[in-house]
Amino acid sequence: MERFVVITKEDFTVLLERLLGAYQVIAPVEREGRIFLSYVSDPAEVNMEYKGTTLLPPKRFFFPEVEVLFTYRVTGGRVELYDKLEEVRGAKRALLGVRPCDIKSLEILDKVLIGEYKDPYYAARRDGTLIVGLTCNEPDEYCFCAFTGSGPQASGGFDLLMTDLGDRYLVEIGSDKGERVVNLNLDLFKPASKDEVNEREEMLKRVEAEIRRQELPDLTKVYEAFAKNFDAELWLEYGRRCLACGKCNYVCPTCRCFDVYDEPSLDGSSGKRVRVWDSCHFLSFTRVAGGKVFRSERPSRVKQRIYHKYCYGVDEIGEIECVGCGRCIKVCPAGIDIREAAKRVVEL
Amino acid sequence: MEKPKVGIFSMSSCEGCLVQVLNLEDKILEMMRSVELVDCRLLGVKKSYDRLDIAIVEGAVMSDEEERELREIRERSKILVALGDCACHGGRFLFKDFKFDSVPVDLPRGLKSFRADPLDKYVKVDYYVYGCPIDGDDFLRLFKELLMGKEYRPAPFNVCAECVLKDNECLLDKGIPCLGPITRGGCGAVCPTSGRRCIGCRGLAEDANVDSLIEIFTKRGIEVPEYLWELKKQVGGGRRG
Repeated sequence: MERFVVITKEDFTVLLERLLGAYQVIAPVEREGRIFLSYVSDPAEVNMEYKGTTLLPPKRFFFPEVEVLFTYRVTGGRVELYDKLEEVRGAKRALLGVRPCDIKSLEILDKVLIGEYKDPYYAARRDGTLIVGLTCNEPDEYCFCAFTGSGPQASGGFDLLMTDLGDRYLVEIGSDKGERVVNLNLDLFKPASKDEVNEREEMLKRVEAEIRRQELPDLTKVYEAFAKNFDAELWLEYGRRCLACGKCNYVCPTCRCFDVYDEPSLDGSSGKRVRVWDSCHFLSFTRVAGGKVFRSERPSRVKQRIYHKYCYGVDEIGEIECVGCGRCIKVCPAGIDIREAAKRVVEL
Repeated sequence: MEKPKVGIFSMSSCEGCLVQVLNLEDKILEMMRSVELVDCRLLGVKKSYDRLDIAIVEGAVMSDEEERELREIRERSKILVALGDCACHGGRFLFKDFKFDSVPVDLPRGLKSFRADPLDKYVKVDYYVYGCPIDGDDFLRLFKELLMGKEYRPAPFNVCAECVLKDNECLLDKGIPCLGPITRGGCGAVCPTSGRRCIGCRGLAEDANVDSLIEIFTKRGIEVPEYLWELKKQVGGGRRG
């Protein structure tokens, strides 16, 4: 099988219809001018022409913000558990239109959540989901993936990777799963020409050049600079501006800290255990028994997230955990810019 | 085991928070089965009792008579819960004095502020259920945790956290003076989600950074309301260690 095939945009709509018959499809949709990922039921809802990134990253479809892990019932002195994993396992989903930066973020999450300790809920969702990526034709002002080694090319982590070539898509096959999809729909695909493959390379080079117009250091190699400047003055400045709202954590494709609590019924005879997203910017994040909060000062919380991206990730999984999507910059009401922070640290 | 005795009381208020409790419909019946409701004017319940396990009080204290009543409730109750913004902060919607420990709405012209005090000005409050009105599920959670003897904790985040999960566009970016960044969350960001700015009905977030919000307003050309300057004097940039 060829590694590259092409599909016209018209035929892509047909493919979408077929996918909708076989998978639960998650794709970019547009509402009031904003792009976000959502379950879709009609090809007409899907918007594959969007610029930059979706507002929220794909992680919520693998690691939802609120997730019931199991329910329980007490009957005759015995506790019966019903693991929600059973429901997660069966699903067959296709995630469409994810950017290379977000594909990379899923690979990072895999290392953490299916690494030394395995999160079965996350793993089951990953197993059951086909990843169909979409490279960027036009980055937005917040994109900096070229400096984090996570775009605009994608080197893996996808089943299929599409590139918009105007009236058709060039599709790179990245896995057996992806190849199966192509084989099952051979009437829609044809082999790509060398020119078409070159066209993609030119396109990605142009996108990379556009992203590289901002001057940033190679963010995969800022470990030492960060390590040296842990007590630098600039962290106080960021701490003064930070609202501790946690939006940066929620929109970050690689932030995955969570809290777990129990929700019993009124008579105590049944209940559920729930997992929710947490944020290292909340005071409650480091509150321990007795009430002590370890990171009570805001600069220490701002640092926690940024250091986790550029240093602790390297220690823990061997690579930085920032994919350069720029979402945290876009949503920060206080205008804290992680790129700028990294650049300043390197220049100290 | 004897069921815990519960009383529900109203100070000056619109009783909207109590209506939120009654709106729990199917759940309220179940709730009432696990306790003995001995006093609730709105439901027409008035049994004779001496001690209460849980007193739930909504509304702000606006008269000496209410103050006396509140002190009496406190004396006979093991646990006292302040229900809703009026009870927790004195109630923005009673046009209360701005220089108080809460985030008020803009006072309509010509209205003078008058006495409208939060319960904890007079008595010890064990638990606060925030919001105008309160969120029924929030109340339900408190109720369950009290029955189990657990400690109820309000949401640890501010309004922005839930707002961004709703895929909302930030109102600040549209030049709207939203108070979400300094306001305690747990409401599901219901106002910003419907395009209305947060007016801070759940009170200041635990680590509210008023200094930064003023800077944000100024940078975006949003006029900084008087009460934010007042708040700045009280809390400034929030917690320092």
